[in-house]
Amino acid sequence: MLSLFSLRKETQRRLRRKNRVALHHWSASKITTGSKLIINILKGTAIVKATICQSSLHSFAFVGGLLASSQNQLEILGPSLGRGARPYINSKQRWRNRIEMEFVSPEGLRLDGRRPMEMRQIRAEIGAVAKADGSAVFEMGNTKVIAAVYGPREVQNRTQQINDQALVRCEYSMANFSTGDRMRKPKGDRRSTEISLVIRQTMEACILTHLMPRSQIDIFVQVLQADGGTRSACINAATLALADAGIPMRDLVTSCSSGYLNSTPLLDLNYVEDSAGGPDVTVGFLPKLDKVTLLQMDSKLPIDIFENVMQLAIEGCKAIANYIREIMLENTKQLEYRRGI
Amino acid sequence: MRFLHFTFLLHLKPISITRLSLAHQSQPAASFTFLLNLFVCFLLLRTSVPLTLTHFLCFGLRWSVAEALPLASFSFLSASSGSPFLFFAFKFSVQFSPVRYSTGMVGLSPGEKHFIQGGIAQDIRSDGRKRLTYRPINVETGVIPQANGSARIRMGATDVISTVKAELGKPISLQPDKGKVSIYVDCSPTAAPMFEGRGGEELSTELSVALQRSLLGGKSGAGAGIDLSSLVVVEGKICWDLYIDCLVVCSDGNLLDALGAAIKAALSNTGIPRVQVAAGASGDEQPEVDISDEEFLQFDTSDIPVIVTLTKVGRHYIVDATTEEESQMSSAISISVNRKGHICGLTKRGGAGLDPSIVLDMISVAKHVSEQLINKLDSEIAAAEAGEDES
Repeated sequence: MLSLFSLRKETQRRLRRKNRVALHHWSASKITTGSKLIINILKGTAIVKATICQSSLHSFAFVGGLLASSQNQLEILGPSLGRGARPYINSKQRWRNRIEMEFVSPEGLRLDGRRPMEMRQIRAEIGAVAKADGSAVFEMGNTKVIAAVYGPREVQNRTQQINDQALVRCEYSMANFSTGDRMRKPKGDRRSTEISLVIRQTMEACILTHLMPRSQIDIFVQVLQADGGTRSACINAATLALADAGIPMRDLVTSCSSGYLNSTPLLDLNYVEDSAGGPDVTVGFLPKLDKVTLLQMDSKLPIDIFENVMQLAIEGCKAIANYIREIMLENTKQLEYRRGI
Repeated sequence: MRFLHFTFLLHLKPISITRLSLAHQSQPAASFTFLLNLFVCFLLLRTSVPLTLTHFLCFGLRWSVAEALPLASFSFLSASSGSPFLFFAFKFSVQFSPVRYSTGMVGLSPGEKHFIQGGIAQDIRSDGRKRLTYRPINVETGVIPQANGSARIRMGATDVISTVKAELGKPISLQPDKGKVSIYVDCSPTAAPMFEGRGGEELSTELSVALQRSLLGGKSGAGAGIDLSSLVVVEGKICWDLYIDCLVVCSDGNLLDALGAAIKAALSNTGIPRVQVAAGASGDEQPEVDISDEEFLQFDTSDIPVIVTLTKVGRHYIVDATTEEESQMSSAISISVNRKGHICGLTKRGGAGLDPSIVLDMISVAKHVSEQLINKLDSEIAAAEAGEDES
């Protein structure tokens, strides 16, 4: 006999508020291996089917790919395997789940109730870290990151000094509590090094580094909640933080991801959709100059479809750029008010 | 509106006042511009501003400013000391001052050090607080939805997040009737550039160990703020492991007190699901468990101590030191005290030795301060929980 948590009341309320979605009911509270679980989502009848697989070690239940991310919008919490255990069992089972999972319902709704071309709710705030020269919080749905900018300042390590431009550095770190199951990873693993590099290159492309020779700009991004699209959220947060620090930039670089699942292009993938194994296109975009500065994709995709998917991500970037502009205007008004103008 | 703007300045820019006075001291040529600024602002302000609230602060700051400034300005200050306008003029000129220091690193000049030490000796610190006054505490609970409990605490510019995650595990064989609690602190590089890479590890470890010592009691688990035996599900087989993860988002001194308070708030926000054990498991087999969907057990957090850090600067000690004040400390004692007034843990940091009688004196002061802190924290936590329920 296996069992599952259902949603905590409070979580349900939070979900309803954030995503306008809630779990309608469980078809069963006690389920056995191999039984199907059906979840109804309000506002339409998106039905998610997943099989239960059994871990031999502890005989705990996991619900397919859904449980792989207990922090995603559906938030099905299950008893964990203990420290270090991954929620997904193995790649073979993940593959099976992927085939069985339906990411877009016949009515055209996604797992969290969005339309395919709908972005998650975004929220931004300038000035989250009092001691930094510039800082910002950026939220995309349940993904939440903080960015802090220090500089331009004297170069700490003299050997790295560049005589005709500023040195831009970046560090990406994830909090232990940012993922569904608690992780304790050493700093500087390969994934975060790669993301640091991506963010650094993207930001370097839009900062007017030649105006600040022999100086250093540090960008630190900290992930508080990870639910897919952390890369994009980090770039957006870093843009806001750089603007807050008053660092000259060519344009506000924004980023958004899109994917292609169940033959539908999807905007702004969350963790479940991201880990489904389909293509995931991340785009960094300069809206005013109309230029792409970052482009990454996993998996494979026909060229004509790729064009559509990338275009979708670019539209997402433009929407984010508009929002960021609004937030900055609001912030400037606040500053003006404080000065008494 | 103008008035608001001034009070804002007053609270946020106290250090720049000292900086100005120093720049002044070291560069006599600048004194003319300084006085000119003063004069201009004086004229400006005479015309428009209502002044009441900050009047009292004049007294605190005037002497120390006078101490740091050369004689000429001193006489200027004292000549017109009756006028509240002067103080504002002074502050205003601070904003105009060309001296700008980057934040983050504590690089204090001798004058600034003197200013901080002198202020503490006179019982008014550079942000207007007394020696034993905390900065306002802001508590938010339930900030991290994927954890069982979480809280964010802000004290001035210090900003920490604490989360509690509960996982089912096996108790260790030496203590089959006790659950496990572990505390980890992570210093984010957003708090200070020096925490980049592995730079924050030393401080993280120091803070984790100090928190474990203060909150978790001895090796046997006795004397812990959290009742470890309440975490056991099946004796010797299943227990709850609590992982308390803290993140320092922004650091402006007094991290340990803030982290202690954040853990207390996070634990009072934590709900642990009720567990039903299937009967019939025997021998070495792990019994099967059924975790409740609806029922959550709350912690009794009234026994969890708060941590009060007394930082000794010169002959006096202060609570809730900022980074600048901490850079001037000779030693610091962190004392964790519970509601009953019992001492639950003690850590001394800093190189300088302390006279035993001073230690005892500090403990009694900490006990007194902790009463106020516990009450304040409890009301803030209750308010945060109520606010979360409403929204």
